[in-house]
Order: sequence, then structure tokens, then C-alpha cells
Amino acid sequence: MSVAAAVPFVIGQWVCGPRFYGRKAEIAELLGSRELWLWIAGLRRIGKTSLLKQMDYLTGSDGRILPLFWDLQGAGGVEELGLTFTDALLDAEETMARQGIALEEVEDGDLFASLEKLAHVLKRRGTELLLLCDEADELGGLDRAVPGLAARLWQAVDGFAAARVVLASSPRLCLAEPFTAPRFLGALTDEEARALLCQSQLPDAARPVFDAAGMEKLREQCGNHPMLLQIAAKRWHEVGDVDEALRQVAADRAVQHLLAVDFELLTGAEQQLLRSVARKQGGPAVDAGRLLDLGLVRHDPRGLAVANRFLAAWLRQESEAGFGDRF
Amino acid sequence: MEQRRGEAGETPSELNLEEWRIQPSLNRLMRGDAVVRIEPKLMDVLVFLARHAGQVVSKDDIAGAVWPETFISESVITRAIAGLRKALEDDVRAPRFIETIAKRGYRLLTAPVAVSQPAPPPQALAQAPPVRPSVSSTPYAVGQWVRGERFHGRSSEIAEILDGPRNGVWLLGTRAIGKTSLLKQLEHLTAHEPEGRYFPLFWDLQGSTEPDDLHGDFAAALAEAEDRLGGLGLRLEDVAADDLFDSLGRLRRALRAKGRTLLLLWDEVEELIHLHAKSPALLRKLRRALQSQEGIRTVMASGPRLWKLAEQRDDTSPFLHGFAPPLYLGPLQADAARGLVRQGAVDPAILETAEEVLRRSGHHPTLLQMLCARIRELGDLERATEAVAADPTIRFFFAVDFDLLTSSEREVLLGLSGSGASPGARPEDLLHLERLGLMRRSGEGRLEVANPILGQWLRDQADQCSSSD
Repeated sequence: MSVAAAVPFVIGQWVCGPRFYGRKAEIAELLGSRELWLWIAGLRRIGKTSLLKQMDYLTGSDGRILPLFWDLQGAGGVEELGLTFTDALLDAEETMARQGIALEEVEDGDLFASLEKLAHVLKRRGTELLLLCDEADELGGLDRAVPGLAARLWQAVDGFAAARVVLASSPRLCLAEPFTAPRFLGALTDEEARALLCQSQLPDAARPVFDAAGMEKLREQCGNHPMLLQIAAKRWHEVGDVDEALRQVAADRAVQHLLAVDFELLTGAEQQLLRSVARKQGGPAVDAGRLLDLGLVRHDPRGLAVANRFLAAWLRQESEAGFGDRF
Repeated sequence: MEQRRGEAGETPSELNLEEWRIQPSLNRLMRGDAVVRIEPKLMDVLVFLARHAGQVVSKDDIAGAVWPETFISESVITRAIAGLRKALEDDVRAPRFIETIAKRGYRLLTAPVAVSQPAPPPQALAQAPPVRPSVSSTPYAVGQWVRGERFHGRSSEIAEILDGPRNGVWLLGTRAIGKTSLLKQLEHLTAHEPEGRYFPLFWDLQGSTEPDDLHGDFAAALAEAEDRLGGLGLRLEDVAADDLFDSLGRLRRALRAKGRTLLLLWDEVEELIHLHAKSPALLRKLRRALQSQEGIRTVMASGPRLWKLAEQRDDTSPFLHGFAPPLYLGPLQADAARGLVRQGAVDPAILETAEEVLRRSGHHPTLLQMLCARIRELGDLERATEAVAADPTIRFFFAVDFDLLTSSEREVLLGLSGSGASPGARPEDLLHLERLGLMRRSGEGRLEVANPILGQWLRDQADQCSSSD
């Protein structure tokens, strides 16, 4: 295996199992909750899909729970939503088989008929459904296209004897009953970020060799953002110099696009506040609300600060030139 | 594909193909009162197949007959065949007219009968001019993809793609840098890998103009892999479906059951830009199909134009984010470039000038091979360099690449090619140009244009601009 292949950092895709780091508190809260409806919201590439996949991974071998990962992306109507659910069932076939559930028992061309069959089978077996719905932003468009669809869906889930639904969405999604406010997914904790950089779950020989001071610098400048951490760590691993790696990440077009997309997910007031914080004119922390939850700002001894160096630089450039002129 | 003389022959009179009346001079097919008009090139392909009815004809044969003196990619043939199947209402999985013969080409299953003249015997239909073999006399491959022994370099990229943790890789490179060859090499390596981790599937998007085309194009790509599917005990009809997304899901799951990961080798992915404009939901569906589950590793190849998709502002996760940051494909490493120069070369003129060829090409695989080919032809490095610098194809590639840069990136390159300096350049521009292989750092760390031939082209552009001012 080449040096390049040995780079353990995974960028741009979900992970689970030994490649998944952090989110212990979130997972404990979500899996320990007895609430039927759970909702997590976060910015792009913060790790929402990985969190759902990790819950799928952790519960897949527990015979009392049937985890079902359901990606809603691309579903534009009831029929397509049904197809995405069929896909979810087909991909869970092995897990279901381990629990003695045959695909044919639950699969139906119609989404609601499938849900009803599944509810029946799980009730008979005393199994709880853990429905992990990714890209739940689609629900907004679906409900506009087919009024009442979301309500009908929740009603169908209500028909399960034991079930929990975890939705993952961007902060832009607005959900009414039965959902209350989402739990926001922000940056990793310091310890989680260190474990990610060290790749502490890999065997010693497979771990990257980074010095402690460099790691703290990288962690601090990335604001513990999981994707920024991994892009920067990969560069560091490749070029061997943490400062050069950070310079390259700052100039990386993919990072700048990510920051721009995230910025657009905020409300106008949040965008204004974030710009103010970048200009060191931030208001009181009490107004920061979701910006803190989303990991875009953080407390420092002088008040609020932008959470990472790359976002701070992007905000400065955005205010100077306007993002649209930059590509 | 190689340049060859045309062998389409004279346009025949009308033909009957089962229930269809073929009218080559009118570019149309008739069935009863129904009329289907097809593009002239599709008609040429159909006529060529008719001349060879019952025989297997390769893509090279078709290219040489229908597109003489033109470089075309394989996908042009694939799309033409898909277009004919659509027009004839043929089914790739149960063909009545055009059969795909894996690794060999296509066969018209039924011999058409000429109208208003005695039906020619099958032997007569087969009496087409012999097709010139496609074996090239030079070891240097210019204007076509290579794989196997003719493929050089890219070992770190191959390792990262095949052994790395990412399931979505975007190969980003300028024109003619070797993106298709790398995909073909990945296909070659994984199809012959002893441990058999992957099932490679090459899918070229070039020419897909309508979102609905994708379904047929993918079915055609899958049909090309039928024999390898068979090798795993899978039948084409079990994994192929009319709907692309259905088909992808079936294939991925069937392969997973066999312990394999689908390695989707996706070429000319820029087509997604206009497909997305026509069908905004398409990228969301593709993202779900390609990135939502395990069992599929996608390698997509494109030029920098694909960055346009990063501006996608849908409600759900943007498609390109799952593939970014890209894996840039720049010039070859020194050892690989040397190997490419020396491949089978016994030509003293090349061996004597090898280091200078490397310098002048900047290790760019196409420039390098074109230089070597011209040295063989002209016997002299200086004349070869002039010929390559004046080559319209090379100048076109430079122009396309230059056009895709931002204005500030263009200024950097023009500055470096002129005064050798580019004061005030933004770090992101320098990083992008360096990764694209349009700029490099000299041994002393000084920035310079990636190779002298590109440098000359840039100076020509600057001169033209100043003279037009």
C-alpha cells in the first residue's frame, strides 16, 4: 500500500464503526431517549449522515431494534418517496434477515402499505423500529407538493407499537408538530477532535504521526469542525508541515464553496451577526443562539469569535469582494 | 479512436429490416405510416451494420467507416448504437436487431433486404471493404486512451482510489492530461485483480444531452460488461432495469452479495451541468444512488468546469460535496514520464534528447508523446517542438483550459509567461493553477508556467490581445 493510500482521513463521505469519532453525548441522548420524534439539524458536512449511520451500526446487531436508514434525497412525490423507502428496505435486507424478517413480508409497492406491513411484523416480534431519516429537508418540498403527506407519514409511524424516528436536516427546515426544536449538531468537543486527529481507534502502526503542538494548532484553527480537521490533517500528512497544510486548506476552493453554502443556510439576521462577529463587533452572546449551536461562533475571553480561521477569512473576503465575484 | 479513411461506401437504396423500411438518403425509418427521422451519422452507422449484417464489427471499424479522419471517443459509438436501438425500438437486453458482443463490438442480427432489387445474399452483404487494423506503428499514443502495458505512472492516484477510504473520488484535470486513460487503467487493473474486490463499470457521459438519455446510456454500459457479470454468476437481466437508479441499486446489491464493490468509472461528467439545469432533481437522485450506501465506489472524471455544480443551492446536500476536494491529475512524476519517453523506443533521436523532451513537455503526457512522435517523424527536436506548438489540437486544448480559468488565474499565467512574475496573486489561484498542472515551482521555488510550449501559447495570446488593442 502506498503512502497516499495509508492516509486514514475520510473526507466528503459518511463513516461509521471504527472510522467514526465523537458524538458520544449526542448518541447517548438519541439512543437513550424515549421520545418518538427526534430531530437533529446541522450545517453541511458536519456529520449528520455519519451520526445516523453510526446509530444504524450500533443498533444493527441488537435483536430488539430494527434500524432502518432512509435517505429521502431526490424524492419528489409520493411514488418516489415509496421507491426510496423500498431502497431502504432492500439495503436493510441482511439486518432484517438476521432478525428473522423476510423482505417479502414487508415490501410493498406502496409506501404506506409497506409501513403498515412492517408495523405488523415488528409488533408480532416485539421489535422496535429505529427509523433514521436522512436529508429530511426533502419533506418541506414534498409537503408543499402533496399537502398533508408529512402528517400522513407521521400517522403511519404512530401505528408502530414501538418506534423512534430520527430526522437529520439542515437548519433551514421548519417542522411543525409532532416535532419540537431540533438538537443542533455543531463542532466536536476538544477530546473528540484530538481522538479524530490521532485516529485513536486504529492500530498504533496505522495512526498518523503528528506532534502535539501541531495538533493543537490545527484543532484550534479548524474550530474542531470534523471536515476541516480531516482536510487539514490529510494535507499535513501529505506535506509534512502543519502551517503549509493550513495555508493550503485556506486556499482550497472546495472549502470556500462549503463555507459559502453553509452561510446561505443561515437567516439574514444570523448572517449579519456572523459578519459583525468577524469584524470584532459581535453583539452579546445571548443573541448568538443558533450560531453557537451550529458551531459557527464560539466564546473567547473577549466575547464571541468566529469558530475557525477559514470561516473568518472567508467572511472577511466576502465582505470585501462579494462571494459571487470570486469564482 | 484512431484516424482512418472512410469505409462507409456508397449510400444504398432503400432496405427492409423486418417491419422497418430504411431510407438512407432521407435519413428516415418507416414502419407502416410511422416515420422516424434519425441523424445522418446514425443512418451511416446503420448502413455500415447492414453491410456487415451477421458479422461482429468493432467500435474501431464503425469509427473508421463513419467518422473518417476524425478523433472520436468510444462514447460517440455507444450513443449512436443507443440512438439506433431507440429508433428501432430494440431492447439491449433482448435484442431483435442490434446485439452487443462484449469486448468485441456489435452485430446486426438480421440481414436487411434491398428494396426494388433482388435481395442480396448474406455473403454479398458481408463483402464490405476490409477494415484497416487499428494497430499503430508508433509506441506513442496521441489522441486516444491507453491502458495495460502502455499506461505509465499515476501509481499514487491509483492507490488512493483503490486502497483509500473514500467512496467518492473526483478526478479533476485539464484536457488531454490522461483522465480517461486512468479510468481505463483502473478498469483494467480491477477486472484482473486476483482478490477481486471491485467490479469495474466504465460509463461515459459524453453526448448525454437529455436526462432520460442516462437510463439508456447506463443500460448500454452495463451490457458492455455482460460477460464479466456472467463470470460472477450474475445475469444481465437480473441487474438491468429501465430506470437507471433501479439498475444501480440492483447491481450494487447483487455485487455486495458476491463480496464485490461496484467501481463506477464515470467519464466526461461535465455533462451533468446541463443535465442538472434540465432536471434539478437529477443530482439529488444521483447523490442518493451513489453516496447513500456502501457497496459502490465512484470515480468521476472531469475538467474544472464541473466546479459549476458546487454552486448548486438546493435544499439538500449538494452533489459535488460528496466528491470534494478533488483529486487533481497533473503532469506525470519524473520516473513515469521517463518511462513514457522510453517505451519501446530505440529511436536514437529520442533517446539523445529524452531529458530535453521531458523539460519541454513539463511531463504532460500528451505533449510528451506528441513530441516523441514528431521527433520520430521529423528527426529533430527543434522542428518537432515547433510542430507541436503549432498543432491545432494542442492549441485548442490550451484555449479550452485557459477559458475555464477565472480572470485572476488567467492574469497569473499571462504574467508568468511574460515577465516571469505575477505580483499580488491570490493564494487560492496559485494553488489551483499548480494543482491543475498549468504552473509549477522551479528547483529554486520560483513560480513558472508548467512547460515552454504552453508558455509560448500564452505569449501568443498576450501578443494577439495587445495587437487587437
